[in-house]
Amino acid sequence: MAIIVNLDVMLAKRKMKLNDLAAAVGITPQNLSVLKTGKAKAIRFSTLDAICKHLECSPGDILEYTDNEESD
Amino acid sequence: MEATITQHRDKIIRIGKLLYGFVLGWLILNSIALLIMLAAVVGLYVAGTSGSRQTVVDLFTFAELVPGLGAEEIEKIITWDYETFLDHFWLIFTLALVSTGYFVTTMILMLRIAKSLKRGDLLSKQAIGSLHLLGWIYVIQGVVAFFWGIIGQLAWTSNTCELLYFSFIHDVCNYSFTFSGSGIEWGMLALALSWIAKSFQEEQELIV
Repeated sequence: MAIIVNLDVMLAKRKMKLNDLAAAVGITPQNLSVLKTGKAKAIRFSTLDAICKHLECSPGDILEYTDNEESD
Repeated sequence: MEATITQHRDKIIRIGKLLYGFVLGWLILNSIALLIMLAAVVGLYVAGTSGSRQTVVDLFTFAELVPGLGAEEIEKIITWDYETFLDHFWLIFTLALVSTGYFVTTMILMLRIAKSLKRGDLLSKQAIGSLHLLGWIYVIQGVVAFFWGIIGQLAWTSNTCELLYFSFIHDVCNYSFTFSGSGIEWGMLALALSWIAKSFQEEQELIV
């Protein structure tokens, strides 16, 4: 897929653990892990909103588009 | 996982409660009826093998009223019917037992689906698994009953076939879905639904 999820980068920058973010956002760590590892097929605006709020960033910091067909 | 079909949640819960109540009542009532049937089958066999054969024939001769037939003709038919029944007792008993098991199993599966629906949880593993299993059971039952019927029509012309197929298998199978025809269509519908629901469930698991 051409969309890359940089959640792990943002978590490292904020020195925050995945479990802590999951608890703050209100979703399960498993679901957040699905997002982090790029396995997610979709992300709800409400989830994105909550993640951005807690990581103090914008959606562009978490999601990145790369024009790379082979990455699919 | 929680169901996400919030738009239809109220409707699902209502229909789930209705289905649960109906199936539970249907299960209890028909289980009693099926137990009585099994007891009757065994009772008739025991009576026939313990020297009370003529008493049973007399009882049914007395009960039968066929216009144009005298008591002697009716007795001949009932004697022949009863002899056929006694000759095929173990087959009939097995079929009656299997039919009872089949009915109870399908109703329990439907109860499990209804239980999830009344909670508003359409995507529960329990409901989808039960629906899938129910689908296979109905398809197999439908195909078997269909060919059994054809073979019966072509190969047998005796009352035994009527007794075996229509009195036990077909009627009992139809108890499960009162308005069902063969069961094949219900099986396919259940299978399709289970696959749709399963893909939806898998899709939902990857949406965060």
